[in-house]
Amino acid sequence: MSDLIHIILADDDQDDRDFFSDAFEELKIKTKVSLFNDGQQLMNFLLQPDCFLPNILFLDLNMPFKSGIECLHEIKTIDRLKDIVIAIYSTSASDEDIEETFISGANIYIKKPSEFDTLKKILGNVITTNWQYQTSGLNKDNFFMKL
Amino acid sequence: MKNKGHNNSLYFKILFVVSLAVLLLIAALTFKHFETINKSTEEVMHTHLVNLKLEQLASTIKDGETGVRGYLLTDDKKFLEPFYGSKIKAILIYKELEKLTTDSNIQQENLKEYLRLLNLRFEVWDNILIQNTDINYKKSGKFIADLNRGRNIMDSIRAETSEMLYVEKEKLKIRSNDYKYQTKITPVFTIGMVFFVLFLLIFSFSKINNDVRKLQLFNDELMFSKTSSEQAEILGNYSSWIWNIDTDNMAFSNNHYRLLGCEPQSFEASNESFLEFVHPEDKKILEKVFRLVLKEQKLKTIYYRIIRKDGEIRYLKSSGILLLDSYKNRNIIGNTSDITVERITNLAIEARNLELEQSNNELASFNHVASHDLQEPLRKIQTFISRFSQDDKDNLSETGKTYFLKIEDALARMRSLIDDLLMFSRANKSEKVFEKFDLNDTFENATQELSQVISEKKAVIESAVLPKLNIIPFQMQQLFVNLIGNSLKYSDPDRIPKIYVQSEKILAIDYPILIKPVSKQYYKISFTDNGLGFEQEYAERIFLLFNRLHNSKAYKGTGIGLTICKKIAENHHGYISAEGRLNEGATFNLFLPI
Repeated sequence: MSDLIHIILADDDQDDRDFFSDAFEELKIKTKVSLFNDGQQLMNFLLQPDCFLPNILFLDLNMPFKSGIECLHEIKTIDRLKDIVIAIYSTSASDEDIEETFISGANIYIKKPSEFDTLKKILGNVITTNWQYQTSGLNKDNFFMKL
Repeated sequence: MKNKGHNNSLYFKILFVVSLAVLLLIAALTFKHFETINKSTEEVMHTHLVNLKLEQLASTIKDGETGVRGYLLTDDKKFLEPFYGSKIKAILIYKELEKLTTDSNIQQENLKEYLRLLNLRFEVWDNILIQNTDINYKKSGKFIADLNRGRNIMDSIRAETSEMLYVEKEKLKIRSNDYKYQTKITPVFTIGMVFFVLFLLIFSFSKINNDVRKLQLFNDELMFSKTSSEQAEILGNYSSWIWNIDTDNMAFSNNHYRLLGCEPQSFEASNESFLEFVHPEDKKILEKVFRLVLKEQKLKTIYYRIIRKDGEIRYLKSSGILLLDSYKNRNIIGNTSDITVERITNLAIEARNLELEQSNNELASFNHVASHDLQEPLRKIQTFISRFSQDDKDNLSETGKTYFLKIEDALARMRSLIDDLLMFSRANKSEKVFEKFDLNDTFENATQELSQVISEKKAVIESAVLPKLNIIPFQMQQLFVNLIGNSLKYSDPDRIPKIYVQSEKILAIDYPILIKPVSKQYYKISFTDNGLGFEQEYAERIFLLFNRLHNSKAYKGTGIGLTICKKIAENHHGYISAEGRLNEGATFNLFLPI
């Protein structure tokens, strides 16, 4: 096991992908960030039997071809993938979306912030959280990430 | 009224039976009376007959004696003829007497004695007549002795006769006493009975008369109510009908014919004649319900169409209940109502409601989508701006720096507008899950959320004890945050902001602003501040979307917050109102039903 933290982001928006990777660059944490343009690309990658599995998977909800929710459902049905820590990463924070992703087994819900510094802070928190312990205490109150 | 009628008829039945019994009694008594009189008469006649026969017998014996005496004096055998005749006659009369007195033992005994004396008498005479052939006999003392003996026997016969006459007389006396008693008592009793029956009849007559008068009154009432219901049927566009299931007889009210577009009573009422008017597609509905009538003991409400005589299609509604009449026949008492107008109106309202709902949904989703999609580019602009480093900013000219600040201000304002709009659309559309919630907790959570502004403004916010109510907790918290936030926003910079929340139970009727109250009692929760206030004339306007009383430069408002409050109050079937006092403060009253 290398010290590198593998991170995957599936987001159809070029700007958001840039903000995301820039943030990690500035965070100075040893990370390997892989970016996918939509849900279909993401699933194609994950379904390869010999692919590396990320430590954390960031999922945008509104994506062409395959939405974040669909990816979430699919991942949770596959034994090899179902333990991946999943962070929802969306522009909206509607009650319905939060409810549905929580029930479907996502670990945290992040609303995309409008300040770059806030973004860095959030991503830093998420990366440094020990999800192995955190998952046991999962509850709806701290599912939606507040800063 | 119905029960009273039954009692009356029972009453009359009893009266009739009693009268009949009394009359029969009178007839029986009268018959018995006549019988007694008849018997008494017969007895009297009988006694007289016995007397007569006794007299005849005595006179026959005397005839015999006269004959014998004549012969003894003259020795002329001619005188003896009556004597021989008298013997036979006496026996014949005796036989008759024996027959007449069979009912009396005493008289029979007397008769036996009489017979002995009679035989003795004739024996003596026979003896005298035989001895008379001796010429010396008449001169002998024996002749005198025989005559004396004959005279003695004659005396005994007379005594016996009067004895028998006496017995008959006594009998007659008893019978006539009986007769007298009977003739005295019977008429009194009979007349008494007749008067009693007469009384009963008069009593019954007055009762019947009374009942007839009452019946006439009932008849009048019935006639009036029939006329009235006929009027009501015409006014209310409905009809009534009776269907006797057991005899299959039907009767339609006049208006029933009119509902079908026909002249009243223009055809014979029957199921078949009615079904002819029913729309072919709806006939099955009626036939099915008719079949179920007996099982369900009523005609359940049905809706169907008819085609009137003039071809117009109308919508009808019918229902009925089962009632037994006096002959235990089962009758369906039914009503039919023409609901064409209501139906058409309802259809129109339904269509309009559907349209409204659709356009409402469209509006809500437009609002949601617009604010949601606007967030994305805005967020990116803000993020890009935030990536300008301090060095980049320092390199700008002074004007550039000012523009930069203005861009940031405008962006922040746009952000709050979009956030509020999103919140407003959520208050409109999110699921309304009510739960019992303590408003004191709501107040705590709201002040917690506003803690930064509160400490910045050094505001004093206090609350009395608030009730527990059935609410949508997150929406109510939003309302508290918006109201308190609003008061903080429009606080007077020269005063320490003070906000006081209190609640009281009120009656809906005391507050005319509660139009169409859903409950008799409400909680009135008031938020009073000492801020800038406003003129009372604007009290209604402040709840309208994007309506603001202060210019946007001085106060950062979007004009959505109070509209959200109004929406949330409505979601709770409540109401919100405002009272303003310019430069003194404002009070917002939230009414929530209990």
